[in-house]
Amino acid sequence: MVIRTLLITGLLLTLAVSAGVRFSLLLALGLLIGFSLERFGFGFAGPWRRLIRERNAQGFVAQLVAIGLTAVAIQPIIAFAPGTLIGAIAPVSLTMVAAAFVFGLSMQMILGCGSGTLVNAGSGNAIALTALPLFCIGSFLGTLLVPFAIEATPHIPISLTESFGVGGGVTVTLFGLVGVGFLASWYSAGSLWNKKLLIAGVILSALAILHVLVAGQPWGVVYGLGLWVAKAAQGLGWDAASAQFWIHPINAQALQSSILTDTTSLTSLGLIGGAALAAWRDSSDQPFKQPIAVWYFAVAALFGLLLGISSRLAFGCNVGALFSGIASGSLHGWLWLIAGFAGSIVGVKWRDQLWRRASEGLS
Amino acid sequence: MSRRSGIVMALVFAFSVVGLDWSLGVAPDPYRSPDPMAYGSNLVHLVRYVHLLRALNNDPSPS
Repeated sequence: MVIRTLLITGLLLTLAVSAGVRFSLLLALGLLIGFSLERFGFGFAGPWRRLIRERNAQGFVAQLVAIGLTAVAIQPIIAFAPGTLIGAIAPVSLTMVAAAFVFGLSMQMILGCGSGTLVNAGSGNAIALTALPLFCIGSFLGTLLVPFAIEATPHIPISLTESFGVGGGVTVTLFGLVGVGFLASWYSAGSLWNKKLLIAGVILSALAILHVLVAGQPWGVVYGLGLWVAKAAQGLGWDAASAQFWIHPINAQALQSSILTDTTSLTSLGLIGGAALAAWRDSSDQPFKQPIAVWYFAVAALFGLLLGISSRLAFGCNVGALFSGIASGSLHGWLWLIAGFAGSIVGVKWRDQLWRRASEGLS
Repeated sequence: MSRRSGIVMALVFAFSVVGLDWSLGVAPDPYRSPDPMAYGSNLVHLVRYVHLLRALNNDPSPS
C-alpha cells in the first residue's frame, strides 16, 4: 500500500513538474474516478442490463442522482464563466440518434460502456482488454466519418440553459430526471435505493464538478482514445491535413501536443490506473481466463470497434453525451439516453444468446 | 494465470501510449506549456527575472 501511494505521488509530481499542476490534477481526478467506479461497482452498462433483465433500477437511479447533482452545480458555474468554462453541448441529429442506438447495443455486447471498458480493462478483464484497442481505433475512424454525417443530416445544438436560462435549464433537467426516475420505479420490481451505489453516485458527481473546475469542460472519454490512434497513424505516415476533423485548430493543436496535456487522455489513463489500483489486491485470487469460447473475443473486438465509431458519431459516449451532456443541459444527452437505452434492450438479448452459445460446454 | 496479469497488461498499454507519444517527439515541454500553473513555466519566469535584474545591475541606464 505504501509503495503504491509513493508511486502514485511520484507520478503525479513528475507530471506536475513536466507538464503542469493542472494536468497533474486531471490525472489525479481520473485515478479517483477509476478507483471509485471499480471499488463501488458503479457503472452504466451493468445497471441498464439489470434494469432490463431483472427489473432492478437501483444502479439506474444512482446514475440519475449523480447526473442531477452534477447538473445543479455545473450549469450555473458554466453560465457564470462563459468562454472560460464550456458545457458538453452537442448537436441533435438523425445520425447522432442512430449512433447512440448502436453504442447502447455495443456496450451490452462487451458489458462495458465508455468509462466501463477502461475501468474493466484496468481491473484485468480479458474481454475489455480485447475491446479497448479496437475502441480506440473505432474512435479514430469515427472522427473521419463525422464530417460526412454532418453533411448528410441537419445537426442542431440545443442548450436548455440558452433556451430557458440557468434556473430554467436546471429545473427542466431535474424534472426530466425525476420523470425518468418515475418511469424506472414503475418498471422496477424492488427497492429503488442502494446506499453503496448512491454514495458512489455522490462521489462521482463531486469528481465530475471538480473536473469542470480544473479542466474547464465536463468529463469525457472518447476524444482522447481517438487522439492516441490519430497520433500513431500520423507516426506511420497518415496525413492529418486530409481529414476535416483533424484540421480544426483545436484538434490540430492536440495532435501536435503531448497527450500529457490533453484533458480526456489524462482522465482516461487515470481511469485505467485507478481501476487497476482498486482491483490489484484481490486480483491474484481471480482467474484471468473467462469460461467462454475464443470466438466471443472476436465478437468483443468487433463491438469494441463499433463502440468507438458510434461514440464519435453520437458526440460522446455514456460519459460525454449521457452524463455530461444531460448535466450541461444539452438536449442531445436526453436523445442519447432514449436511443442508447433502446439499443441496450436489443444488446441485452443478443448478448445473452451469444454468451450462452459461447459458454456451452466450457463452464 | 490470474487476473493480475490482465491488470499488468492494462498498465503496460497505458504506459505504452504515453511512451509512444513521447518517442514520436511530442514530450511535454514545461517551458512552452500552455498551462500557466506549470512549475517549469514559473521557473522560466524566475530565470528571466533574475537575468533581467542582472542586466539592469550591469547596465543601469540602458539606451
